[in-house]
Amino acid sequence: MINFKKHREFRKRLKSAIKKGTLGLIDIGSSKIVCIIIKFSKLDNNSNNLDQINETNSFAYRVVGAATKKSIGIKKGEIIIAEEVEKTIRLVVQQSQKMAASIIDEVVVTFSGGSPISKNLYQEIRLDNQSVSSNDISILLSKYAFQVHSEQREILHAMPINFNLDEKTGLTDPRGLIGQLLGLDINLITIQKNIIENIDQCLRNCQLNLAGIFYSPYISAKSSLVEDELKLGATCVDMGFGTTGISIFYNHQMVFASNVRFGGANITSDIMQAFQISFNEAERIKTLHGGLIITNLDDNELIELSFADENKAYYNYERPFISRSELISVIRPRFEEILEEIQISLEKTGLEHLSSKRIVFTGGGSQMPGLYELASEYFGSRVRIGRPMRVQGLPQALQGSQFSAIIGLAIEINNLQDEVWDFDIPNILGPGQKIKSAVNWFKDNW
Amino acid sequence: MNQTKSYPRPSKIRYRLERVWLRLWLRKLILYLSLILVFSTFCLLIFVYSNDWIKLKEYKNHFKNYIFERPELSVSKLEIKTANLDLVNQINAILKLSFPINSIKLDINHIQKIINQIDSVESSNVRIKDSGVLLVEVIERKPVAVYRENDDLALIDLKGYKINNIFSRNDRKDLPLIVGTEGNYQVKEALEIYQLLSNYLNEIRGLIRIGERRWDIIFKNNKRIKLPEKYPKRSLRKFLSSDKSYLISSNDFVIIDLRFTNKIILRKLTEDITKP
Repeated sequence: MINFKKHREFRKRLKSAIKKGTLGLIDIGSSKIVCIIIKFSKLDNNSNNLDQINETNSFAYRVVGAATKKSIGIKKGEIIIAEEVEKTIRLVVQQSQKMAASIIDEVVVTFSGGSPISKNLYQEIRLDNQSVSSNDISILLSKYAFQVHSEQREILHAMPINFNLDEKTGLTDPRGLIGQLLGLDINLITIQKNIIENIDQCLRNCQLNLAGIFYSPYISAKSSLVEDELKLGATCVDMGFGTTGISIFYNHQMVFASNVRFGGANITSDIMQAFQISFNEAERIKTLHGGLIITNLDDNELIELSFADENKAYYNYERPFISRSELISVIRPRFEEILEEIQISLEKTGLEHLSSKRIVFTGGGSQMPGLYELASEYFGSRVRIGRPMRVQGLPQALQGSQFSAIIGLAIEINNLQDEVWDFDIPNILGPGQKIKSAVNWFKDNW
Repeated sequence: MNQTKSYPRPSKIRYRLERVWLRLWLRKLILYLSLILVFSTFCLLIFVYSNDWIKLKEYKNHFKNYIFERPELSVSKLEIKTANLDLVNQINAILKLSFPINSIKLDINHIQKIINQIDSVESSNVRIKDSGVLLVEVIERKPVAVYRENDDLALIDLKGYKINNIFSRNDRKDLPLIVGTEGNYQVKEALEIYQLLSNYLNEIRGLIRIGERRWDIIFKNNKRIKLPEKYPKRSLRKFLSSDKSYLISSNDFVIIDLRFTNKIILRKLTEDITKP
C-alpha cells in the first residue's frame, strides 16, 4: 500500500505556510513564469490557529506581490533546461518579494505537461450493516491499487469524487448513513516520472520549499468556471502556449483532465515558417493582428513586417507587407486542429453527457478574435470565453485570461480540494487518537 | 521551438543576499548593532582621552585657530568714510582696533553702537567688505548755531543736539548765537528770525529765549527787540516792512516791544536802565 508520504509532506508545509501568513504561488508556463505572493490575514492568537482554519475552511487573503517574466528552457510545460528555469524563477521571486517586502519560503506550483493520464478508479467494501465511520473510508481507500498506477508514473492528483452507498449515488459525505456496500470513485491523474522531482529540485536551488503541486487545467477551471457550471458540469479548455489543457467538472468535482500537445507556440511557428520572419515578430503579429474569421476587409488590411532583428539575412526582404487574410489563413487551420484534438479527447472520455455540453475557453489562446464563432461551429452552441475571477490585490496587468492558472491557484488555496492523502492512514487496531482526528477532519472538510 | 533569447537575471548570490536582506529581524539587528557600535566608540574615545583633557583642549584650540586664521576670514584694514579728519581720528581712538582681526570675533553691532555714541555722529553704517576691509560710513551732524548755557559755548545742530563745546564765540563767528533755557530746541525758528534780519546781521549779538516761550533779539548796542509768543516771524516781518523799521538803526530807544499786534511799545534810553 502506498502512503503518499511526499504529498502528506506538501500538505503539512502548506498548512504551516498559511499559519505563518505568506505563501508564494508560481505558475511555470511554457511562455511565462508568474509568481504572486499572497498574505493571509492574521488569525486570532488566543485560539488554536489551525483549528480556526479548519473550521472556516476559507480565510481572507490578499495578493501583495506579483511578477511575470518570459520563460526560457520550458517546452510543452516541461522543464528542459533546469538552470534557465531556476534563473527565471529567481527573478520573478525576487521581484515579487521586493514588491511584497517580505520573503517566501513555501511555494505552490502549477504546471501543465508531463502527458497526464486521468483515470477513474472504483472500489467498494462490504459493511456489516452499521453506520459508515471514517475508519471505513480509510479502509476503503487502502484497497485502491495506487501502487500499480504509480509504477511507471507519478500520482499528481487523487481526488475522491463520488461516494456510493448501496443504490444511492452522488453522496459527498456518507458518514453516519447505514448501508451494506460503500463504493467510492476516485479521479487519479498521473504524470510522467520525475517531473515533480525536477520542479522540486529547481525550487530547492532557489531556497524555496515546494508546498503543493497542482495541474494547471484543473486550476484554470477553478478561476474560470462559475458556480453553476461547476455544479451542472462543464468542460474547461485552457489554451496555453505549449499545451492546451482540458478538464471536465461535474458536481464540483473534476472528473477528467487531459491535455493536447498543441498550443499558441505551434501557431506562432506556423506564421514564422509561412512568412519567413523571426519567432518574436511572428508572436507580435499573431497577438496584434491575429484572427480566425476572414472578412472582405481583411484583404485590404496590410500588416507591416519588421525585420529589426540581428540575423537579418534570414528574412525575406521582398515582402515587407502581408495582408491580414493571409495571416488568418495561416492561423485558422492550426486552431481547427487544436479544436479537433480537443473534440477527439472529449469523445474518448465518454463523459460528454455529464458536462451538459458547455465548454469554457480560457488561457492566453482564448483571446484570439473569432474563437467564439469557430468553437460554436465545432462544439454546438454552449461555448463561452471565460475570464478569470477577481482576487483581492492582484495588479491590473495580471487580470487577463492568460493568468487564469495563477488566479485559480489563489482561489484553490482558499478552499482546498480534498485528496486521498488528506485522509488518515487506516488504524486497523481499533479506535484511537488517529481515528479521532480523522473524524475531526471529516467534520471540518465535508 | 522556443527561440527566446536570454535576458539578465539575478545571480544565485545576489538572490540569496536579497532574501537575507528582506528578513525583518536581520534589518533590526543591523540597526541596533550600528547604534551600539557608534555609542561604544564614543564611550571608548572618552575613556581613552579622559586622562588627557588638556591635550584634547589643545586639539580643540588648534582646530579653532586653524579655522579662525584662514585668510578669507581676516579683516586687515579700517576704512572710515567721512569728510572730517578730526572725526576719523576720534573714531580710530575710540575703537582701538589692532589689525588683522578675525571677522567672526568682530562684533559689528557693538562697533556701530560705539560710533553712534560720538556726539558729532548723526548715524553710521558698519560692514565688512569682501576684500577684508571694515568699512565705516558716518553721517556727521552739521553745526548750525552756537548755544550758550551757563557760560558754556556749544555748537548745536538743527535739532538742537549739542555737538561739541567751543572756547570762544570768536571761534565760530559765522554762526548765530542762541541763549536761554530750552533755546536750543527752537533752533529752526531762531534761524528763520535770523534770516529775516539778514540786513542787520553785523549789529546783532544774538537771540535770547525768554521764559521758554518767546524770543528777544539783542543788538550790540544793548538795544533789544521783544518778539511775541505767537507768530513772532510774522510780526517781525510786518515791523521790518513797515515805515517804522528805521527804529532799529536809531539810537534813541533801548527796547522795541512788538509783543502786541496793534502797537509798538518803545522805551527811551535813560540813565536808570542802561546803568543798573
